Amino acid sequence: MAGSWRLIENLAGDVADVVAMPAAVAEGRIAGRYIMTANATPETVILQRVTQKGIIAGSEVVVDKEEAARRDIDVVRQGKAARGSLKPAGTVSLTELMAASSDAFEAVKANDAELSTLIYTSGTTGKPKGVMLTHTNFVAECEVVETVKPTKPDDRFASLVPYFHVFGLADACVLAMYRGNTAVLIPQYHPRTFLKVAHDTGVNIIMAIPSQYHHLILIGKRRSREELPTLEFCFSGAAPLPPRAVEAFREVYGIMVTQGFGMTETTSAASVNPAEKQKVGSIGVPCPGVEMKIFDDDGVEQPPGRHGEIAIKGPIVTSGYYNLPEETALALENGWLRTGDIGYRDDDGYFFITDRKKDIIIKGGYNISPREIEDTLTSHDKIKEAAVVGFQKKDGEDGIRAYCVVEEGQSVSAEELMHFCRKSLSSQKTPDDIRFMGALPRSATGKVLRKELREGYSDPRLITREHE
Amino acid sequence: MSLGMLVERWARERPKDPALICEGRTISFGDLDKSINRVANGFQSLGIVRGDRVAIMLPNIPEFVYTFYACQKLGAVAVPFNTMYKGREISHILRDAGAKAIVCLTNSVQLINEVRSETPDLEHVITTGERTLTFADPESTVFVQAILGKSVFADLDDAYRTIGHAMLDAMVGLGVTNAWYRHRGSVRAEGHKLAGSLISEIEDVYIVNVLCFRGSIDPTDFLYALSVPPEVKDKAVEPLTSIEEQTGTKPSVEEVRDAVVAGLKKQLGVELNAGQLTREERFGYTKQRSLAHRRTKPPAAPREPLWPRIKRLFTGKK
Repeated sequence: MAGSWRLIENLAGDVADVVAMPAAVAEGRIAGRYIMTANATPETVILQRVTQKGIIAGSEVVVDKEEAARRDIDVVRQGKAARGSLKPAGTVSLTELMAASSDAFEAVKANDAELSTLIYTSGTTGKPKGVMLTHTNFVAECEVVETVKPTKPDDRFASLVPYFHVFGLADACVLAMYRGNTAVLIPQYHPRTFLKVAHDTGVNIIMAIPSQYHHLILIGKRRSREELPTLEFCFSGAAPLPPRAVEAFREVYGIMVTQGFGMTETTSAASVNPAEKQKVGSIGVPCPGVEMKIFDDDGVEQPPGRHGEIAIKGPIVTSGYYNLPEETALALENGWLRTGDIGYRDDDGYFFITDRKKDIIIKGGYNISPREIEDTLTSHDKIKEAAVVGFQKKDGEDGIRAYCVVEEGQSVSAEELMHFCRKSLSSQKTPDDIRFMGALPRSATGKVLRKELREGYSDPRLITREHE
Repeated sequence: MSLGMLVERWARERPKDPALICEGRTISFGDLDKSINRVANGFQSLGIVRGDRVAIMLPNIPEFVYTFYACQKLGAVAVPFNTMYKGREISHILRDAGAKAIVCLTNSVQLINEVRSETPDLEHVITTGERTLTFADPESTVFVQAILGKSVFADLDDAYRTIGHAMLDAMVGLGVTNAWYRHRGSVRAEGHKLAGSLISEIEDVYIVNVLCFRGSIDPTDFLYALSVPPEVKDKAVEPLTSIEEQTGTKPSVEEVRDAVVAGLKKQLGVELNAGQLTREERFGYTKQRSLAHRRTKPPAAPREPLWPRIKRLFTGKK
């Protein structure tokens, strides 16, 4: 289509211009059609540059205005979508879809084995696999939590964990509706936002991950403990909460955090370390209706005190991985789910995890636990966090690489750390290479993504060129 | 028991009791059940049936709950996943699950568009929420916008293709020889985004928004203003690059303009003539500007001390 179009340049504008100019032109063009002005709006191209940093945010995005002002960032809001308003071309608006539909619908009666949900595991190894969870799995998980914390009709649940994660989905989104409780939703989590919401709505149960408990401890120490007067029960999952954090949280808020252990494959919690009989460092005892055992490599059950792989059986266990019969067969044997976690059970029936099978580093024929090296590194008072992975040295030999996050305001050299490790670790466990980072890569639920630290790792967020 | 029946029961027994509280809004079990039903019926009208997979890429907002339970009522399989996923992470899940529809925030549309060619089962992109977010930086971002009649293009695919190739031509013209374009997506170099385009529609008009990165952008400041914790900082933003990072020199805005004009000319065969907003458009512009600002409280402008201002008033000097 040949012709001449209009070019409007605005090279010294601001973010309000970025929003307003095209909107004004579109508006004029649409209105012009109805009032039949002689000069129809020509096809228009607008080129804009801002002279000050700016954020264009939808009306539901929470922007810290003071922080923005302090950083000289101009903030403007995008117009709200309404019926018949601007929307991305080729999409369906949920609001419009709902407005055009009837509000009566009767739920289908699902069969016992019918799939409810597929949740892709963050995939510490390989590509994410779709974990198949049935309606029955979710109901069984609700029954499990019921034994840990029985329902009161006026319970108010706040999940600081996203509902796309199995912990948030099973133990908040589904659980609250199973029990007929109120679910308090927090779209954009920030500890300050949460405290305000919890205070205003009278939240008495929270589901959160360790990093969030750490935030709450920090913020609670600075404020009064009156922050959460209604709080009764705190559930932590997805990663272990260190004993000193459990203690610190109790000091600030007066509540012992109940820790659960589970996986996507077990529809969230499978075992619980109960608040009243908590054993430090343990993942607790199996929940009612759930069996847990320790197996050695040959599938022989191990007595208390002996190490092996932790396996779980019960109605909360997945029926397998979507479209992956081989992987399913490997993970599930006679209904026993192999967790990939190495650990043992004590004489009281409490389970302990000592390592993750898949993260084991093999160096010179020895199996080395990254966790042992990480614990050694973090015992150094200048090291905040550490993650250890295997790598191939230039000579083709296996090596150990440690990524360390130094405590704020501190500095330490790689040599000093290696020397420090040598004092308490055998030479083959001493890292061959130490690197420093600002923060370790973590999953949405706070797990360290060792995979991302391995050599040859390629960022799955990138979109690469297809072969043409 | 089916999960689809959970809310139904409370809607029957305690319709007025609060089911959800979100950002100051309380939704009763009765209303929640109705909203779920609307979504379930809506899904059905799009041809989604029992056993179909529906992806959900949403934060904890009421629409997550509507969508999840609508799937349960319908017997469809919900596939919720992390809202911070990008590129291959999204395409792997959509393809592996064979998702027929995805419910996502409006801001995720660009990401979904870009992997749509790899997800043949995906028929519907259903959007919700007012959580769009764009960063503008004087040293980096240039906005190329266009307000065009739909009849300029054969269809939406043609519109994306034409605009995308015009931008690709512009980038190559500016020296990014390794740039490439993915249909309905971004102009990229080494997998990183160099320029992204989104086409919106209202009535018979397309509004094209292209954001291109002239110089490198550091999102740190912006993320602080959004209270994004540092450990997820890297995940919160799509991997970006810029003309400066690819070629070693940052083009001026004028150079970018000339390259874009040349690209549009080549792809569309049109001349671009410098123009201004008309009088009517200026009214609309003033209104839109004040709307954009009124939707939020503007940051308090640092005020000049009073005395110099008075002095200037009288003397006319600085």
